[in-house]
Amino acid sequence: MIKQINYTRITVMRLIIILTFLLSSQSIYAEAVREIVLIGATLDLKLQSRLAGKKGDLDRKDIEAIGVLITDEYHNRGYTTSFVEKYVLKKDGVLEIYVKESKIAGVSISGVSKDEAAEIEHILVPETGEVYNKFFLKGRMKEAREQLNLELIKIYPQNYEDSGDVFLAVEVTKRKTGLFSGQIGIDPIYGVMPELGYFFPMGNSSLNIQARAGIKGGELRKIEGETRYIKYIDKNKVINLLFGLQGGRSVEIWETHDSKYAVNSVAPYAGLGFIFDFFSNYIIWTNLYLKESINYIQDYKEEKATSTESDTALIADILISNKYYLLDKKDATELNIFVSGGKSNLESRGYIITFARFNTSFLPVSWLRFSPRLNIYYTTSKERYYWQYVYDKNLMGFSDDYTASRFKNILGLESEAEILTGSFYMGPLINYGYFLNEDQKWNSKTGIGLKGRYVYKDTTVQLIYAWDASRSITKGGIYLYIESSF
Amino acid sequence: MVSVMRKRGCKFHCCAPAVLIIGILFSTAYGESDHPDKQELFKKIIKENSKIQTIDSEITQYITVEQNPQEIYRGRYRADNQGRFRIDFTSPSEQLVLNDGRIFVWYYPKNKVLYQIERQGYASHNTGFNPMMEFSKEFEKRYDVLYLGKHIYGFFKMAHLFIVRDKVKGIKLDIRIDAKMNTILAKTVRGENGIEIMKEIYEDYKLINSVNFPARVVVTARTKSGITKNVTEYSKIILNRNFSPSVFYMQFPANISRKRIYE
Repeated sequence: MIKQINYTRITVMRLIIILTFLLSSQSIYAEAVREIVLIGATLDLKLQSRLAGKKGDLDRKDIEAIGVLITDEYHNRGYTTSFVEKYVLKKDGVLEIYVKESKIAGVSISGVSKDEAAEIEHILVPETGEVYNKFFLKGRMKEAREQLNLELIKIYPQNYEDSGDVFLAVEVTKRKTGLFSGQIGIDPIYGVMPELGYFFPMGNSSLNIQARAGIKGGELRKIEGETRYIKYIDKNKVINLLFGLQGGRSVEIWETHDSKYAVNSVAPYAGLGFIFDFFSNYIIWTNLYLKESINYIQDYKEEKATSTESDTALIADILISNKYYLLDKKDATELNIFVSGGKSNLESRGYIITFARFNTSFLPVSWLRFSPRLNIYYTTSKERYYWQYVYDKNLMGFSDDYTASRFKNILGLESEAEILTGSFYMGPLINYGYFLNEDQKWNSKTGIGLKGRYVYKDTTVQLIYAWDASRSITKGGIYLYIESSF
Repeated sequence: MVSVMRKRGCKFHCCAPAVLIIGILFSTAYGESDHPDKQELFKKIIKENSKIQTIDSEITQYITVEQNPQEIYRGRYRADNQGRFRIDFTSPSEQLVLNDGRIFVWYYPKNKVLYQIERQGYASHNTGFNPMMEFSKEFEKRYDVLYLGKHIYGFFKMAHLFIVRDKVKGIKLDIRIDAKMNTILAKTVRGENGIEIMKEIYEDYKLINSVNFPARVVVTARTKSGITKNVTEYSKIILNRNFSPSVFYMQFPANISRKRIYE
């Protein structure tokens, strides 16, 4: 919140104009005004073009009107403490209008440590002596609040030693906790999956913690967590260091062997991240990191067999998205490419994993959305351990099938119409998969279904019923996702 | 098609999606197109959208603000092309919104509370029925117009695409105009950094007294409270009727509580 300085703008200005007329040794009606010159106006407000026609015989009212026009122009653009200070009409017909551009003379910040105050000051007033602008300050306050996870910022602009400049007294209230988010869904592979997330921004760094579990048929099929810490190492926040730790346990099902195996793993990783602009309102986020996994595998290929595997991989994770620029993030077009090259005890000659995800959205009318998507997964490894399930949430309509593939391509098209404005959406979907099955033969499947989505405040509930297009509609499966932030 | 793909192996099958993706990504890039007189075309469009002098209609508004439940407002909306408007809301409660061209107020008669609202930042100064109104003054002095040709829009309609740069405010506007009716379909306002500030969609056009009018308008904007979405549906629309000046003037009781809000 910004508290306004208690200027009585019109009264001050009129007083200045009157005094100037009284003190001036010139009679202002002695000569016509042939030129208007602004003195002290350093901002490019294109005022000269607005004043171009205002010449000739000007009376007091005309000159006042010019002053009002100039002051209004400053105020409309947010320079609410700048004003016309005085007029001088010279013998040669030049009317000099003195503009007082009210600068920010100083800042004092309370409620945070010295280092945090310096950081906030740098965001609010990046350049010393800049002209006070209410709109710019509002935007920067929001930026400071988001970047530093602050609860509240209040600015009290004060007249600085009667100079017409402004001193900013800033009160900051820090947020005590980070941001939680959660979701729960029914996953076709791992069952009921609750997920909890915690995000804590800390100025130049942030901490992100995610945890999820999967329960199916009374069995804990998956439990995993990840902690990721990012620290920006440059002023523009384009390059960051990245440190993380993943860990968990999952029970995987080998379809053709009709068997299960379990994987317990812990995997620290470290690397660098980069952000840069790409071609017309897209941004590229790139993470390059080295990951070392220690995996304890049970019953893989053989019952009661156990092994401890070490897996070292170099990973590139690239996301191209225009989400940052958009008002509605659902309209985003995104391409995510993940490439991992590594070596392990299971794949001593090395392996490559790559997957790509593409999704976009278009609305021929505001109440109807079509969202095509594409998912591709490929690995050079012939080990089932590195394959990915075919019938996951990307290829819906096939329950209780744990076929995995080393090369799968999934194309999907979802549509939704706004049934209740702003709250309930519904529409059909279709997805097609073309993949290598576990016998290394190409296979294709098509699933179709119906999706309903309900939105209330920050909570979204999505329910999907989908089935194999070549079978009866009654043989389908339900997919449910509920997500919220709090 | 599937059997042909299998014969060629996976090479073509893998390339096709990549080509599709690259095509979609780069299809958002447009180059400037030649039009014999893009300025005249744009002026013609401004004139077409200025045919409405007044509007009197029932409205239903669905307003969604981040982290808040949706609110639905119903009432009577009257406005003229001088920037004045009046909305007499009947639901969820009796409320009066009035802009007499100088001040903008929101009045709750039952609670006897009046809010005088002062808006800053980018605000559309028109009253909603003439989305091209901001271009009608100082057009050539203030705006640079780039014409990007005709493109498919919506259900295979053809639309002119303009990028208009406001030299004064430093913002850019993407404007799509129905190539046949010369009515506005969408307007997106971006800041100098390219971030969308406001998006307006005009649809469900109805021909009323030889004038095309959008019966549904969707406005999404960044506000102090977060991303706000406002869907307005118009019904029982009467265009260009004469209003008595007292429609936009209200004498408020002396014993009401008056407050100022900065938006």
